[in-house]
Amino acid sequence: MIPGPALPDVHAAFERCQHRYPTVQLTFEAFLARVSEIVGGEQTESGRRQAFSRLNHEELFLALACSLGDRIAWEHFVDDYLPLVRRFAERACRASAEAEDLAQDLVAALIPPAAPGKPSRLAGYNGGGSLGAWLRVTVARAAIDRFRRDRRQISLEVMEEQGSELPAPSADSARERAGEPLDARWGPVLSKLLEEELRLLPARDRLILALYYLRGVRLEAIGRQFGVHEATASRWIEAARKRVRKRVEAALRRRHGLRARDLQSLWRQVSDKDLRALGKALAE
Amino acid sequence: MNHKSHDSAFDAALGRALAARSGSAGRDCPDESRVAAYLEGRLEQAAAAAVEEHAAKCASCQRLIALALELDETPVSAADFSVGQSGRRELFRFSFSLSALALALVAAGIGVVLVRGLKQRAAPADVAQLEAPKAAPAESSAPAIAEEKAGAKLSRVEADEKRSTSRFDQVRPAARPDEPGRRKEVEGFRARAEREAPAPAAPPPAPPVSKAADSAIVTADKIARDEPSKKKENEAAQAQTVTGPQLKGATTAAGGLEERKLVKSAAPTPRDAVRAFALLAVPKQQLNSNATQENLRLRQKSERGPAAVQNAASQSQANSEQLPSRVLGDRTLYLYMGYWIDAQATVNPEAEIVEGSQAPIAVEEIHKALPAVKDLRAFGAVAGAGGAGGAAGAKGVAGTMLVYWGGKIYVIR
Repeated sequence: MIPGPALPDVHAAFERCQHRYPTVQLTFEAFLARVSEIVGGEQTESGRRQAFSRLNHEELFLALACSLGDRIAWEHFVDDYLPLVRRFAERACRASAEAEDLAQDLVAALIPPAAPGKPSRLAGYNGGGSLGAWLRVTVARAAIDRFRRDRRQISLEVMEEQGSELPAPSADSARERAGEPLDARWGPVLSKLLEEELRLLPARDRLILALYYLRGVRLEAIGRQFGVHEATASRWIEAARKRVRKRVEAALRRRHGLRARDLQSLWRQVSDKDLRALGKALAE
Repeated sequence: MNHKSHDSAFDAALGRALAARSGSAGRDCPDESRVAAYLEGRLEQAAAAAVEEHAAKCASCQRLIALALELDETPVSAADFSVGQSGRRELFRFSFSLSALALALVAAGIGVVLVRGLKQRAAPADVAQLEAPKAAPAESSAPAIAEEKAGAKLSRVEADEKRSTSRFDQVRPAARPDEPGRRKEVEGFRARAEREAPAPAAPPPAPPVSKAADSAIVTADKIARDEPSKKKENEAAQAQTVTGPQLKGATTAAGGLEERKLVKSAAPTPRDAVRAFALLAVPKQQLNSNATQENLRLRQKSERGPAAVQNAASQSQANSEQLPSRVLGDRTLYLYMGYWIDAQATVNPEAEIVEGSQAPIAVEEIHKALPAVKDLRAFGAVAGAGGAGGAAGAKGVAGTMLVYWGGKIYVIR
């Protein structure tokens, strides 16, 4: 017996899907098999039912039909979702030519297979989120992969031109290394303390800090994801940052006997490069 | 070197630590469907927590989520702040309760200061009232005891009335917005502000004009209270009011103070604007909490007076998203009180304000990071629509920008 939700539920959902896409040819058995595959991980019947009720049935139906090569389903997809793919690609790439290439690559990956053995990427859609959101993530993934590939190609070309395996270190980096005596001493200490304190933060706080500080996500986007205004997102980040700093400084005082003046000196020395830029900015 | 530079150094160290934590988690990465469901908030709490736990230490997933967030073209609506995301804010509930506590403490502190001031000022008036009956018998010659008793009772009632009146006057040395004189001043200011404000090309941003007037008065009052020199003058004026013979001088001094307030109101300073904007940008979920609303009302009451309290709820619900906005790189600037204010300035509205002309290198840094600032500055106006808020109404409005940069607020004219 297939570990899936109760059949009446699936039947009802399937009928709704057929009502929405009456000309799409997808068998109930194929739909049931896919649904069972998706919710089969749930241990209990009620868990499977809940998981099934959360699925986007109609979009799953369409994606499944597309991946199985239904021409009408693909036409629906082209009408309803392909413009979305193009818009996402345009937003992901700065140059329009790059965006067009990316969109073409994606269409080629999504298109129903001409021959068996190479499944459409749409077969990976499991109805968990909306098809639009899945396409957004898929475009993002494709753009990142493409960027990585391009960067690798560029660096290879540069290396070939230079005739060496590694680029020579710049004068700047050498100077930075020479001018970091305190960093060499306190850098590992600080890194360890920061690691410890970051580990104590809730995962979401860490993720938000990483998105903001490392990945350069705008406050507006963070706020939208977490359902708050960007000013609130900004306050969250500031609060988490202050919390980490306070704890790190407390640990430095407690474990290493540093005083307020020492801490100032430490922060001053910890990143020479950043301070140079900041010194300019402050015009002091 | 001030402590702000240490903030930057700390940020750099924090970034390195975060990067060190963000390795490659490899095969455990959630698939696109799962990430999509997470981004849409459709995962169960435990599943969402698992995605976050993984993404917090996986550079690849961070990149994916970051880019997917940037690709999101869903317009931010007011409903987004109040519906369907409650589960996501649990971690920050504690910080909200802290904010509420801080608001309550501030309100209580202001209340204590007001009560102390009231006692100090009320005392001499009470003495005057107690001295008044001494003179009364000389004038009164009524012999009947009953009449004396009745008269005494009456004089006590009158004295009580006078005392309460004098206390009332002393509690409110300056006219309040609900009094006719003050109302005239406010209306005069509004009329002036409307006259001076350039006519918008498209539907005018109505809330900023009226709010600008009110907020400017609030902040001007606050500044008048806060600044030590003005405080001294205020105290001198109060002392003169109490001593009686110099009442005329006291009125003049108070009038001077009022004039200063009006001057401030007519041209709100960057500090006024940032403070008022920070008040305006109170998150909605905070407003949804009754306790926080009460705290906010208390705070506004202490700052503005009873008349403004009636409008406090509606005014505080006004969100900065309703204002004309302009997106410059990763910053969003809102047009408020005649300034384009960087939303990040709400992080610390009390940050040092630096005139851009005094810090050319800093301004240059800002221009490098946010090139659009230079373009806008070159034209001398912030024109065109931008951002989700749409600045159609702000087209052609000459604006001074207040940009939060390196822990300071730079005034770029």
